[in-house]
Amino acid sequence: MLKSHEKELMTSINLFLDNILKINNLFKILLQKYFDNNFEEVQTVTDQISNLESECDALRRDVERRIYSETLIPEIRGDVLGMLENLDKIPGQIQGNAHSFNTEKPKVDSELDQNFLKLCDYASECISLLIEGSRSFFVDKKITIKKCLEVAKVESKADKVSTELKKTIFSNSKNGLATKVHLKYFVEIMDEVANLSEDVADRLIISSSKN
Amino acid sequence: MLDILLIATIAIIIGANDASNVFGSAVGSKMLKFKIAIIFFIIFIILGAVINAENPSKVYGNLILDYPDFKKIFLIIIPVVIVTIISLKLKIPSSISQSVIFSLVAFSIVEKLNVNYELFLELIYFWLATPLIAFILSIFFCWLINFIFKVLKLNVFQIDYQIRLSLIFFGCLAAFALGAHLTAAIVGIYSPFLSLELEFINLNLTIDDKKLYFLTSLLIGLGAFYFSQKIVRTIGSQISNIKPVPALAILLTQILILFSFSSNHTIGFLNTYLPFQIFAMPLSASHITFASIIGIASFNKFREVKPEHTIKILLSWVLIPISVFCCSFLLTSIYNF
Repeated sequence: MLKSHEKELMTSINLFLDNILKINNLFKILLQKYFDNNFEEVQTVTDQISNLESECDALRRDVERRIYSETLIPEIRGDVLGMLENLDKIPGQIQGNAHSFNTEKPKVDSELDQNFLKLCDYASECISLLIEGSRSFFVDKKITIKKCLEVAKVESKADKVSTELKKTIFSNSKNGLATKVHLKYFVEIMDEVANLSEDVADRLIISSSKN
Repeated sequence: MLDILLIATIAIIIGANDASNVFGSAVGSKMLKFKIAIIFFIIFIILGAVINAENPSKVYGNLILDYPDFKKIFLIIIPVVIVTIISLKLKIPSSISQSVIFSLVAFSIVEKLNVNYELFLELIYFWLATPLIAFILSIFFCWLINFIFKVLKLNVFQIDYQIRLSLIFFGCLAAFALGAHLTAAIVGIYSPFLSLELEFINLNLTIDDKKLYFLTSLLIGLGAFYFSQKIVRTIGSQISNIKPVPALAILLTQILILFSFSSNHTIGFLNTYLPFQIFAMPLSASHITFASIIGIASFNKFREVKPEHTIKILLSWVLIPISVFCCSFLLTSIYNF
């Protein structure tokens, strides 16, 4: 009985991590569709992201409850719970970003498209590395540390792109201040995904080193 | 009657303290319910006592060549009970077997009995050597368990499951091994009297050695059942705060050492390979446990070791036998006077 519980838990955790990756990929698709002005598809993808985010919440709560009620992994229980809760902030942030694009429909100049996509790619790479590191946390903590250190490197690339984007936005004389501030807000919420990944990665490095 | 009371007191004290060393980690981390752990403890401690306690008990008969009068045995036990209760109050683990033997030697000196000092010295060598062996073995077992988990590439939940099962299984084995040593330490001194005629509330009881081991181990179990939970909660087990892998390494160390000095099969097997001869003797489980904990702490360069507490325990290894010796010497002298 104990063995089946342990397998179920690992399956739930893997499903939770897979869902974060799916949300990550869906956001890239959403952004592409947005720049193609395909707003119907943007709505569909936003709904898909919302559903997956809700699934992530349910999975996280279930895993946390089972770890505590069955008093499993007493040594690293706190670290695993911290990891799951911090990871769960990422799909939440992406869902918020998707809703913002869907409802606010910012006016992005065509010359900014590529940089927005680049920023999205870097944030996405941060998440992929973080998920690989999180999976390894349950098996080999050395790999976790290695992957999490890579997250920090990619996050700094994302920061550079974000700074570049902000410079371009504010150097454009055609747009008014309101548009500039609006676009800056979108740059920041997209960069926030990379920042969140870096924060989770930093916590994971400490947990892995401690154990 | 006095003998029964002394045996019962010491057995209950030991049971209350030593159960936590065997199942403390499993219960502390809620891997095993306290009552189930104690049932396992009682069953295996009785089995260990009935099957193996006679081997280490032989040491007493071999140590004192002209064995003392049965009616004077209480003079040997009283100092042990006094010193054990004091050490318990000071939260220092003490060795009953060592205390009994030092008390027996002091008693024999006053009574001018013939003591086998060669055997006494050998016992002291082994008592000094076993904590050192425990120190090394615990490091080895800790490394081995981690190595096995690394090679098998198990995830944390699989490791958790394996540790839970192992703590229960090896906890039972440790209780079995401990049964022989604890029982021999408490009543081994009576073992040369094969048929004890004990008077208990106007009843004359005839107890042979097997019955004696059974009853003593049952009392140890009852001590664990009624008092160990409270002790784990108030004083706290040394092991219960240790992480599961080191706890398992400590259990394996205890099992290996305790079996090596109680089971005739293991002793025979080891003597064919060792350059020196070992023999069955009651050992101190608390000394083995403490040395194992220090061994595990060496992994973290002794950062988690409290120097004051460690020095206090190490000093007690010398002071407790000396105190028992002096107490027994005085008591026997006063009694004879």
